[in-house]
Amino acid sequence: MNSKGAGGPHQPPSIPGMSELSNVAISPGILLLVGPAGVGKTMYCRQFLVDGLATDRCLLISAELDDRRLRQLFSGDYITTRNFRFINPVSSNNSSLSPQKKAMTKSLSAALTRAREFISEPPRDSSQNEKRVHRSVRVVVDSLTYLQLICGEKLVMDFVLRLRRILSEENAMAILTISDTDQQIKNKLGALTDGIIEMRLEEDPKGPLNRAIRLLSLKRTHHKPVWMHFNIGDDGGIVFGERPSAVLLCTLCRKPVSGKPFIYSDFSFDTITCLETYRKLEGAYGTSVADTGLPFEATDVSFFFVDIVGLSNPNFSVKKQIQKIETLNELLASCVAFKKSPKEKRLILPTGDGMAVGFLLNPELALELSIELHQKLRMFNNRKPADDQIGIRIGLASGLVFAVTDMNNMQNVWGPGIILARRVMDVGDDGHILLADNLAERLIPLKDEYRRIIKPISDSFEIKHGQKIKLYSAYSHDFGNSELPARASRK
Amino acid sequence: MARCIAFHSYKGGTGKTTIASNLAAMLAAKGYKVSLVDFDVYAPSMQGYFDRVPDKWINDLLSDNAKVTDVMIDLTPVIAEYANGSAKTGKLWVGFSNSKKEEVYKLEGGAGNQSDKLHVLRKFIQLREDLISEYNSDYVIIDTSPGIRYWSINSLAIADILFLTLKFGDLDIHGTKKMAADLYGSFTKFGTKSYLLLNRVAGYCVPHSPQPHEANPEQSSDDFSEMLSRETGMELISAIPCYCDIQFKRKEFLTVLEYPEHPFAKQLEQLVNAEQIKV
Repeated sequence: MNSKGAGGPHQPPSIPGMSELSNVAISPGILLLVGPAGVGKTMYCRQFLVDGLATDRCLLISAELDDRRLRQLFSGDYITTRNFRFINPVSSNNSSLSPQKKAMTKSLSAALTRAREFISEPPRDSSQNEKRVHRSVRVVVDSLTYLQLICGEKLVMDFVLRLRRILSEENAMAILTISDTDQQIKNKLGALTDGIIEMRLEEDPKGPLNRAIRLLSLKRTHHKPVWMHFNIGDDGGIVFGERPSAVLLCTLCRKPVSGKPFIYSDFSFDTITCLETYRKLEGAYGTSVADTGLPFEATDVSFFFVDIVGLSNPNFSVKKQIQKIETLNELLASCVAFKKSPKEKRLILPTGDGMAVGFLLNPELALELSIELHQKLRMFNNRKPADDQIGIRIGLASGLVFAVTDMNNMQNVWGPGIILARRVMDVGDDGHILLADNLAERLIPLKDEYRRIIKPISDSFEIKHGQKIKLYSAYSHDFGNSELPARASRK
Repeated sequence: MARCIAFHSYKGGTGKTTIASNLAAMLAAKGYKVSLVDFDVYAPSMQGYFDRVPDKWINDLLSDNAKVTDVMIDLTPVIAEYANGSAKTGKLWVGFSNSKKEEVYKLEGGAGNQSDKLHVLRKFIQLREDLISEYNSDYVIIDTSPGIRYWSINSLAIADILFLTLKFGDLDIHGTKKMAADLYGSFTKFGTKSYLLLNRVAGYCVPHSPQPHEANPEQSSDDFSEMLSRETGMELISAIPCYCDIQFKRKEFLTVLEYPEHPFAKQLEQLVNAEQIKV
């Protein structure tokens, strides 16, 4: 299966192997491509650009390439087309590799100006002389690791943020590459991008190294990451291997299930012995069974979902945005409600500009954490100038989730519980602690205090896909927001 | 139907290895195919018991450095030697755990991350399957680590029958009861059978004249066993007396074969013939 031929004249740009990598469509945006040196990141980006040369504007930004190496990477035919542009961001004003920060800043700014000009210049179609036609934009920045070595982290983060602003005005798909050695910058960039593609090299004792790729994450979209093998063909093209066949594997022993599977809690087992052994392990370990690497059954979890309001405001520097994320994380981690929940009884999922925390035991903890965080934040904000203050919105809900440990050893959760908390949070404005009915109505009967602070604000609020819920807001004089959320008052 | 029996205890030194090895040998001598697996991974002692140094250990199998055939040592000749060429002799394979500290750490740490840990667990589960389906074992006997630990839990989870071994005179009734309630319940509700196996029961130094229990002179050992069984909710499958000749022997080795008339062998014979473990 070759990835060539992707992308039509009026289609949004697609990435090589998109149908293999994701079961959902990938919207235009910025993807971070992470992988070790030599895995094929540059060749993948090359394929991404080549796929779009006939129809899209293709921009390659690289500090590593010069004209000679560019010609080696692409054939001359490609790079002479008017749909293609190459920019070396550190040689654009002849101040190449200048150590001076000012010169470097100027050089990067000039590169961004040239990028903006290319992206937004009135497109023309040669076959329909001077007639405006729709053009999608493909951008590659290869590599941020190298750029960071030359310019430093701060300038690179600033560069990415400004590029992001330019691209947000266009129907652009961009791939930024980075080596997987620098976890810290990878995490920061992950917060600024819309998805992460991972590449890895696999040792094969019987043959050469195997290359594999997967779409690790996609913001706000659930998908199932699957490693796909790929090769780099003699012509430099990316050739994907066959997708693993849809053989049902036993959850416990991973053998293909022969015959009718034994089903338990959405898991399939090859034999009754496997099923019983799984249930024995689950019984013995409880939710800690996930520590063995095995998935555990759907669990009722109370979720606390928080994000920082207005974090992506372009008036804030990236540094300030990151500081806010770090401050929120620190405040959250210092809350008693967070600390008193045993590690094995809570789930933590960073979401970039916030966090989701799932409590497996006591549903009150989600509310306690919200109140405590608000109180701490109020004290923090009192000491800070307006720009440094942090505004948050919180959504609380409970429901079933599955927790699985993925191949990257990351904790992942999926299920109605976390989706609902996210959607409830999305309704809120700065300061709101909103609760879905399924959690609010469990809490209200418990304590008089809850009766006083949890108030219904909408009897039938429609969230996504026509789902209607009763919405509650928790507030008092020192936490929450007593105003109706703007979205709720519009309904 | 093959049986997978795990010997477990709350504390160490209860005689798991001795009883498991003798039981395995006796079953093999009676014509059964038996696989004995040393999975007391934190303090393996079966290698010393059988005085063998295998080329490959169970640890190698779990870390993908050996096949099942490399680690399961055929000790049938040892059985045959005692059985005087009896046509009834079955098979005895034994797999040993490595006591080298690096190997213990490696297994204890789950070989790093969770996906590696799961891989090792799957290899362990596969070992049981291979011993039953490839070796046609009638019995897979696992000598586990005492207490509630990662590999003892996993060993108990793959077994059909659990023998909770207790040493008379050094009982931690409270701990044993708690473990039986907390841990064994997770297994028995899915079909695992669990039994108490009392070892070194006091009062038999003079055969056939049981004495009152030292701790409670009013209570006989039979009463005590009943009480224990009641408290833990587990049936007592065997109460093996304390035999001074075994207790103080420099090295006990397969008494059931060496001294088939010994009362210990007779006790094990009863266990071998118990309906609860019949295949």
